[in-house]
Amino acid sequence: MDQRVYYVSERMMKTATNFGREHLLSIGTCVGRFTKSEKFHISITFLDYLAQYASYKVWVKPQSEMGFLYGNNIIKSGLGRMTEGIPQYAGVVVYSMTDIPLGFGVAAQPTDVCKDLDPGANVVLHQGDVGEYLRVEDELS
Amino acid sequence: MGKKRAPSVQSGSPSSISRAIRRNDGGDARATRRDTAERQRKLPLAPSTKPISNGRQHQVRGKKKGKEPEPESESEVEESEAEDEDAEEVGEEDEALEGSGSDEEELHAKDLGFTDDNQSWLKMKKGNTNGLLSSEEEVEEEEEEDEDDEEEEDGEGDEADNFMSGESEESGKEVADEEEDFEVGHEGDQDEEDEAGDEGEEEGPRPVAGLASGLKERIEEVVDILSDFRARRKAGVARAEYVRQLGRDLSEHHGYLPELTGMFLTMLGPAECVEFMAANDRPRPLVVRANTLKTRRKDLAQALVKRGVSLEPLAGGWSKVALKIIDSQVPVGATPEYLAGHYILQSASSMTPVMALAPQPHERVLDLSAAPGGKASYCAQLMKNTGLLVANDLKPERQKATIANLHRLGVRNAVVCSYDGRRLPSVMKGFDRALLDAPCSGLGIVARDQSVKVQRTLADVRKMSHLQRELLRAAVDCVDAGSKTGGVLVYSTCSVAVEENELVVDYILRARPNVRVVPTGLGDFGRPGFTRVAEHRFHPSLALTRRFYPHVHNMDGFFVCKLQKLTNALPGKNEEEEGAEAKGKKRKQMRDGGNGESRGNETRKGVQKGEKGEEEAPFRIKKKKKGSQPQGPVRETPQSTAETTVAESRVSGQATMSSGTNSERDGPLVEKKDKHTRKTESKTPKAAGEDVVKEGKKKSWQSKQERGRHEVGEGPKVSNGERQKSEQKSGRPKESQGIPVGRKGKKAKGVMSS
Repeated sequence: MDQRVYYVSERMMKTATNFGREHLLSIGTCVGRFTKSEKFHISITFLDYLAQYASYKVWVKPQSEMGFLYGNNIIKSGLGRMTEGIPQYAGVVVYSMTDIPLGFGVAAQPTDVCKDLDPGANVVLHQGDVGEYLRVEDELS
Repeated sequence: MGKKRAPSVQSGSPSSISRAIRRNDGGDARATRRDTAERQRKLPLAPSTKPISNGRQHQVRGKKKGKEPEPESESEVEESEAEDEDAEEVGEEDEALEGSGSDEEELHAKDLGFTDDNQSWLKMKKGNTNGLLSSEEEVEEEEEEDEDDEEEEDGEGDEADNFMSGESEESGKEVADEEEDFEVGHEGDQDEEDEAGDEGEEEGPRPVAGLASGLKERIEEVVDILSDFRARRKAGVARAEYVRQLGRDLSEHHGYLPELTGMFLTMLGPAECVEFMAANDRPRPLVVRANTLKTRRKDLAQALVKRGVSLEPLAGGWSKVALKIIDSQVPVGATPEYLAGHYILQSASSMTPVMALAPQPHERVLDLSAAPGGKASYCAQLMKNTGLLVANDLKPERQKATIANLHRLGVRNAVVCSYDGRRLPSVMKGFDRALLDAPCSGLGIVARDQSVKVQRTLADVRKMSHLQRELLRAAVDCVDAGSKTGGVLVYSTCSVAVEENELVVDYILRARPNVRVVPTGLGDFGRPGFTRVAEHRFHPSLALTRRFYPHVHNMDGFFVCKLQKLTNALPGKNEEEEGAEAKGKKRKQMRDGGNGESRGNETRKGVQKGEKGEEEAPFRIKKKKKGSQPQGPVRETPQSTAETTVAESRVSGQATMSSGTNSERDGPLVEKKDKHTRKTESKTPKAAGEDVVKEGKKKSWQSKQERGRHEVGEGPKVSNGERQKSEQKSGRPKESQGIPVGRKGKKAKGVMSS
């Protein structure tokens, strides 16, 4: 059984001790899970919190929204705008132009390099997107 | 007589058929349909599929040869032969298929079952043709036409022109003929009578004589008759016969199992039932609920409009978060807004139970059957993501969808678990509110799932009803009556069956006398629940529940009932101890003595009984007898049909275990109960008057009760009607009457010792 991390208020956690482990399926918000090699993967379910506190943000153009939501990387041509000063491989949260958080990933290039990339080059490498709610609903729990 | 004539008919029949074809050919779709339907009616109803398929084929053919004029005359042999030739063209292919067509007429008779379009896959059955062309029909057909022709002779010249009018005239005349029959009695048309008689011989159910022949028309006509039965009935035909006929027709027309149709008919009455079934064949509008945790309805509407979705707020204005999708360029279930959790697809009816529940911030709320999380997320939305929301569902695999939905919608206060709802009270209690959207037969969502029409049986409904009772009992037990803000629960189903709704609630009022039905808070939206239907008579407060119908509200069929739990202690809570035998009895008595008065609480019965201990003596004796028997707990519930016993005994075990603490717990409760008592008394004049019931009356009531108990315990089960009767006699509200015997007895005992 994989190990998941949940973010939840202490009071709720204590209340939830009423429920047996085998019957308890989820509590609060799932942050992510440990893989078999014990690496921690953040899950898309935690996006709300990530979006709330993200310091590095990327906005995608409406026409490439769906592309990202199908699990693809964001390429330069789909890039709407991005925060200044993102270092390479920093975690970023992806928003639509209307500021709806759509997912997260890592910056393929630092911000200043992105400015003069060719249109097909990756800007954000995909890690998670809200499309997973439809695509891999079963793996979310 | 039909039999006698049969031989002569045989020869004439094919021509009449071809004529019939012609008639259809020229007609507009409606006329054709009526015509074919007419034939269907005359055919045996038993093999119902055959006539239907044949009827369709007629239509197809009609379209093909649409321009052909309609001959009305039948007397001229020449013409009929010409027709035959015409028809033959159409039938050529069939002929080849059949191979046995030396005689033209025979051929036509046979190829009737076919159309060119369907030829590739349709296989002709011998019986099919025969069934279709049973001789009586033909005779009938011919004769009808004869009559018509005599009058319409002049119109024959340019039939093509006035075909339409001729057709309608004809049908009108038929009706007229039938009406004549009504008045004259049975003299008028011998043929018809004979025909009917023959049919009766041959096939099982035959249509009530003198009704329109088209399925749809007949339905309308019967509904019309039933709406003013006395004035419009045909003499000598019983109402039941009409209803049966209507049931048959509706089942056939809409494709329901007959027993379901029967149930709807009893419940809704003929006129509404027809509307209901028609509405079930239309789709309900697609509705989304804006997730106010993340957005506002206005913003969402704008965003969706930008994506090419045309929408409007839900009609009626009862919901501030719902949007009706009229039309959409994009899949509404896959827009970025949807994925970001700004809305969820949820039928309008599914919002009503949550609105009735009205969860408040910082409460503990339980959803017993939550999957896929639509209502649970609405709860969280109303709670503004505070407090605790327990979303339970039996099946862990269904809960995956719940978890995904809750996360997507940004619900942070939810615990998702997978218990059997019936076990939940042993897991966690003390909820401020509970929502039980019970698993049900789905008889309200036929529009969404047409398979319900043929897959559900009354047995299923009853089975569901039982499960629902158990779940509702569990839900009641999970709620904490002492909650400052809540102490309420909502029971809802997406079924319209009385068995799954009113009966279940009526049961819980008896099984848990510490709950009562309260207004749903939906205003006058929805229809009041039934208080009497068929042989059932429910507690009057069931009128506070709400029903929703597809044909009235354009929503799924739905039922919502809001209950308030008044005390945590059952008035008859010691009932469970009965199983614990005589030893426990003394202890109980002592304890009851402590709080016996308070136990009277809101069920005003206790109040009156409280004064006179002696009167209750018979109860006590009875009780002892019972308690000494091994299956004590089983007998206590009036529903001691095998269904409830398991759960009951489970509960009883629990209660027994915790009984030690009961007396302590009851301490503070006493006050509360008294409060409740006062409240109810002051509220309902009836209740207030009741403390001063005269003794004599009381006595008679008690003896009744006792008798009733006997019946419950020993006999199979007291029928509702009986209970009702005794109730009426005693002048007591049903609620108190209906309380399970065991509890009453116990209570009585407790009171006495005090």
